[in-house]
Amino acid sequence: MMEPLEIQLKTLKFRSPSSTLDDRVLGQKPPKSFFPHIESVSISLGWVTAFALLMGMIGFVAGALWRGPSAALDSPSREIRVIYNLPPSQNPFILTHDSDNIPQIPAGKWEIHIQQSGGV
Amino acid sequence: MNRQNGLLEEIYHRYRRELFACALAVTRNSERAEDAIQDAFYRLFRQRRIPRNPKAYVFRAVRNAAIDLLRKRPTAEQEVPESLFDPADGPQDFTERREFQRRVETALHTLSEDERETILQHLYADLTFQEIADLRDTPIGTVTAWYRRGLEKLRTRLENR
Repeated sequence: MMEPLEIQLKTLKFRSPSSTLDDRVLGQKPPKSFFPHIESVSISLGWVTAFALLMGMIGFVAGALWRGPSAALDSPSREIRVIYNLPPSQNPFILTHDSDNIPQIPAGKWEIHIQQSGGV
Repeated sequence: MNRQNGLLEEIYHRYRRELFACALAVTRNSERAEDAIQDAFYRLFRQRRIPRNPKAYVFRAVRNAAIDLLRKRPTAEQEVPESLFDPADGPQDFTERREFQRRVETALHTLSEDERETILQHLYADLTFQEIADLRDTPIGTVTAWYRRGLEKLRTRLENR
């Protein structure tokens, strides 16, 4: 039950908001999402990390199976041996010969051996 | 999020005047009251979840924004207090009515913050005592006491002009 003073006060018209308020308030609404159902799903950082680790492990195992059981762990190595054979008369390290007249690159025979060990 | 924003928009349209009255009861300046509503809705539109009673939540957000605004930009002493009532209140605007409006306004300024805010929110923002109590996290008994005391002071001041 209202008192006479309350009724009297109620007759006074309270100030109204300006006409621009609607634009100011509703204009700041974020744009509508194309995927509202996805947007509302929250995923914890822990699950994302666990999923990334699992995918990494699956990738590693798949790679190992594709290349062979030990391929993923072993890296292939190759041994290269280069032998340069000089005729004995032109060998500068045999000091019984005269080494002054030996050309910069004396004629000789090159042999290259490539040996592969381990891996594929 | 889209459905929630639709609900907020509906609340805004339905309680636009009441929200403004609620903010104006705190700021006592229409420009600041509008700024408070804008700030509150900016945050509300970006919120993930709105609790079960959205109306109370929106009113609380607007009141809090008004208090924050007042804290950041306190009213300057030289600032002329704005009229809380509509300056162009209809063509039947008799001198007597204007005079009553002016006296009410003067009397309202002599009340405590709590008394004035409660009276304005109850009479002009159409909030129940329970809603005001929820809004302010205050027992309902305190709110009704503020209202009764404020109204009594107003009556005395209006009679002893």
